[in-house]
Amino acid sequence: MANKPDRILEEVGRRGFPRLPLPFLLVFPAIFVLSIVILYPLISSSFLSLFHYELTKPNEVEFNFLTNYNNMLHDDTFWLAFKNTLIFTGVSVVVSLVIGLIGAIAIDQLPERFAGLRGVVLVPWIIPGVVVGFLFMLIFDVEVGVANVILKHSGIIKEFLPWLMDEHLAMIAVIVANIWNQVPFYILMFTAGLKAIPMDVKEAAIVEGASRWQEFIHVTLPYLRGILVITSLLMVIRNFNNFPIIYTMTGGGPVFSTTTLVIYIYRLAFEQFNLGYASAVGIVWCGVLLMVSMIYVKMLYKQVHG
Amino acid sequence: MSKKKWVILLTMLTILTLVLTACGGGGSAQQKNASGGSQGTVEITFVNWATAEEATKQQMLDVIKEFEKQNPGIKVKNVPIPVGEQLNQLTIMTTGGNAPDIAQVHFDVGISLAAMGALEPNDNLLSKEFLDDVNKKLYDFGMYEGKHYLIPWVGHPLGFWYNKKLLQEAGLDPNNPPQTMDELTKAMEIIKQKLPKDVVPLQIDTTIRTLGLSHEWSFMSAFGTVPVDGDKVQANQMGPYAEWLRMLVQKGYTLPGKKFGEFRPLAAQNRLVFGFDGPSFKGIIQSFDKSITDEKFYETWGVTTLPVGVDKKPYSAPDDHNLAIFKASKHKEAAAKFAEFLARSDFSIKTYVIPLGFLPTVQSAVQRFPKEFSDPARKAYVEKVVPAEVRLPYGPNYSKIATVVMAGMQEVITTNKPIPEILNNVQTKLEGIIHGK
Amino acid sequence: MAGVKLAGVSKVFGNTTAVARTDLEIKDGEFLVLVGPSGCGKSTTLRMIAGLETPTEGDIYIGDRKVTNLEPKDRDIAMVFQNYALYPHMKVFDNMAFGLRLRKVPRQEIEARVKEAAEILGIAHLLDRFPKQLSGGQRQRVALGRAIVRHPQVFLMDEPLSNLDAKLRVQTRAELIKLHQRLKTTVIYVTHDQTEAMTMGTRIVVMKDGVVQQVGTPKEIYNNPVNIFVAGFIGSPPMNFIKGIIENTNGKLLFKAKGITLPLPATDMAVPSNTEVILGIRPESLAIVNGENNGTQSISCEVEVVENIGSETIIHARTQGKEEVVIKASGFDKAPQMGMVMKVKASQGNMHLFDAQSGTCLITFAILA
Ligand SMILES: Nc1ncnc2c1ncn2[C@@H]1O[C@H](COP(=O)(O)OP(=O)(O)OP(=O)(O)O)[C@@H](O)[C@H]1O
Ligand SMILES: [Mg+2]
Repeated sequence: MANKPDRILEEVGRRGFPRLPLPFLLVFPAIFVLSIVILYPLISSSFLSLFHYELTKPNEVEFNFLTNYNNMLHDDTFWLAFKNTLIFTGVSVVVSLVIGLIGAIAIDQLPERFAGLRGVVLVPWIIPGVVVGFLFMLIFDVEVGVANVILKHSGIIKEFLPWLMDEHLAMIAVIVANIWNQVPFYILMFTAGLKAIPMDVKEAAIVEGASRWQEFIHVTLPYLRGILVITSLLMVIRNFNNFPIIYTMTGGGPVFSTTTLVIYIYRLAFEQFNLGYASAVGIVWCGVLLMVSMIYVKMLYKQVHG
Repeated sequence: MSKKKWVILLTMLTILTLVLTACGGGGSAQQKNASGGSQGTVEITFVNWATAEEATKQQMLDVIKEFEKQNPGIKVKNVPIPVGEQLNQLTIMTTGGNAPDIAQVHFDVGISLAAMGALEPNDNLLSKEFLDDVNKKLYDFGMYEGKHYLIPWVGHPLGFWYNKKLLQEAGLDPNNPPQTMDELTKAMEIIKQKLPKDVVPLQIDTTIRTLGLSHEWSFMSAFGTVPVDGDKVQANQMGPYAEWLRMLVQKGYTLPGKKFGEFRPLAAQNRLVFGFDGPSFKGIIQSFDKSITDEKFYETWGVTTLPVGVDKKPYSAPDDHNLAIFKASKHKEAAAKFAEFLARSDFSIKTYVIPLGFLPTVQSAVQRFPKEFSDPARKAYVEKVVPAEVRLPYGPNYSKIATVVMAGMQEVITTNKPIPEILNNVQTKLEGIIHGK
Repeated sequence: MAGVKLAGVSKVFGNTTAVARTDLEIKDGEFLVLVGPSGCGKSTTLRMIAGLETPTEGDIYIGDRKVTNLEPKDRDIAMVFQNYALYPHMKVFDNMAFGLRLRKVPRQEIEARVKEAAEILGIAHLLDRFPKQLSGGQRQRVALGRAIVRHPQVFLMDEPLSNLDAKLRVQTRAELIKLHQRLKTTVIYVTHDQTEAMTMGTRIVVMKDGVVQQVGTPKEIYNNPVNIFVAGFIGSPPMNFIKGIIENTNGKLLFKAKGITLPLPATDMAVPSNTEVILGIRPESLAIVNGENNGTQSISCEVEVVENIGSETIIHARTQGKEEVVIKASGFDKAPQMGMVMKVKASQGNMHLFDAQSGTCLITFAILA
């Protein structure tokens, strides 16, 4: 069976077309498009990253080999952005994971007549990042934000806090916004995962003497392991280049306390027009992302092929 | 797969890419010709934020229509972009080979574009009448490396607005706003004590933006030291200003991290005491609350120059709107004509400049429209604020300078780090930018 | 080891009554089979005993403990599921050891028990594999092993053999019986396959629409079904039913249907004339009458289909009243042919009269050959 389309194509080949195997022909358009929209910018920015190239100084363009990369080593804003990226991504993913899991379990146990709630839970996921950013900018506003009002009324804080104007609080605020935005995705994934667990296996554990918690640890969790790993990796990648929420909420500030690598690159390229250096930072960022993606693909492959 | 197939494939890929890019280029070239050549009329592309903002859109469109009526040979293609994206968009358009003919720009953006080589020097494009009539000081702000690039359109310098009602409520003299920075600080202290908690004493922009720097610049000047003066980097001497800024935030005299525009709603709700804003302040406040008539507005608000500091000189920063003609333009004369119309024609001044609260940039306007210029605020602006305007360190490094300085100022207000340490760090970075490393 | 008692147990889901008020007593060491058509409430009954469903009303006892409101883990039962429900991420050994580990049984004992169970079931060589590396039959044994190692008071099995192929099913059936004889633990076994019920059960419970129809030994149920449902459900091919009326002449009963007049053995039961009844007779109780003798007691019918299943032949025929009659017979020199008209008569076993309206069994006669 599997050979049949191949053979048909070989026939076609005999009539004058290049003989290419079917799978190759099928992926060709995708590869072609990808190579234009991804490979080309990638190559041109690695090239650019070897130049001193600022749009505002057209007369000073020159090849400077690895100077940009060398400058990066001594650029404390770069390292801060790197650190912020890790914190933002790590905390977002881990916390969303836990909340998502709890949410999914809660939803899974919801009686059928509350099924509509599942749809409602997904709403934050479909709101564009910019809108989420604005929403939470208002929520965390020092003057009128509800976050302050709620926290003060519940006695957790005494004075209104300048959430977006404090180097630590600002990071918390953007992470909270981000988590709110993406928890639904985790819930969605985990709900699907939970649905796929055969009921009788869980019941078998219960009958064998497992408490709900033990059942969760020994049966549910192992079943979700694949989804857990893949979702986290996917979200690590997604958060690595999460731009709109941070940019709208804090613009990377105060100072650079919420500046992640993408924000930094954006500022370098589109506010300072320092294209050479921005490209260099972009390449490093791409490299890190590529490594994560490779792990992701490997895991995915493992998942599919046992 | 065999090696040969790969080679074929790669070749195909390369050729296709080339063909596609070539097609793209050809297409746009053709388009340009078509729009330029038809029966004697020229079309100029005008990028601006005037038509992107609701408050100014209709007036601007009216002016464009009138221009087209008076100049049947010229069509204006209007391209609205948000004010915050001018540099970004114009840079992208220019580098993409798609530059407009003329654009509305702030000084910093205009000079950056000039530094990029995107603009056409315009001394020779403008008529003698215009050059004689234009405000010399504003005109000179538009110079870069000995050439002139930015045509002043409307003046919008920042003046010191004071809320007479709130001053009175706080027991201060409503007709005698603070004259010095010390008085200002003292007044804010009293305001904080006497007035409700949600009253904000001072409008000051502490965002990491070029606009933030231009807003704070006058305050810095009043405290005696600006971070960069020509080639001189002196951020490490800004101690007194930084201390004052930190105190402002610590004592709640302002809202940290807000854009200066974000204070305007507070002003409309009568919760702002001192504003530092342009002449369009009135129009904007009236647009927030339609019940505020001119009369009511002037009962509440007065405007003067910023309180003075050590050198006893008042300062103001230019937030003025200019017109820039692009080097890539094929119709520079038409563009220049349009620019003059916007800045100088009766129609434009009557329809756009005056109703929206801007200041004209030509001297003859005051004579042509004496009645309109008897308005107390406009008078104060023309007589006191405009002369106090100073030029900021515009140029190719301006955006970097702004980022470093404003990040430093944010560090001052959001951390407890010793101020000298922060300023020294700013100093080092600025030196790196300005003197190169 | 313990017996199980259901006292007035019922279970209602929304507006379906899965199990109607049921009283049932399962003796210690018994192999009780719950049988009935799909959806009759067998699984629900079993799951209530396991503690996976809470009864809507009534109480459940294991031994003399009332367990109605106890968690499954506190009931000391083991359950074998239709799809085995093995833990896919655990090796066979761990699958079997799981319950013991939860109960903090010492390691050595766990190993000993798992080994023992694995020996009994012949899966000792598979302990190091994952479930997906096993065949269906092997998985089934692991599932059994997982139940055995626990030494529970009661085994609950829900159609454990239904995923096996026919041959394996017969083989495993025998093994299960042997296992039960060896362990002597109470087993409650659910199946919808009456053959399984008949061959395995010490006693059988026949259910329909959540209601227990009859409880008894296989023999009782086979020989004395209490109603037409049980009669039709148990036995393969199913019992023949012929509609007709009774003629009662001075206590002598005569069954009449179109083309059939059957004198019935003497009985004490007084059935009035013209009572509408259904006559039930098992295919294996019928025999073909040779020649023309014995005209009155035989039924004449036309052969429609002849199925030869080796030692036995199953003949589907139709009476003059167009009712289907199935005959199971053996030892033909020459089997009847399609279209042939032949005569059959009751030759052995029992004959039943059911009330045509209620379906309850009125009289069961032993056939006198
Ligand atoms: N969780 C449930 N919710 C609603 N109805 C249910 C539920 N479980 C079972 N039922 C209903 O209860 C009735 C009995 O179901 P049960 O599973 O006990 O049947 P069964 O005899 O085991 O059938 P089968 O031989 O098909 O397994 C059915 O009508 C079924 O639809
Ligand atoms: Mg069932």
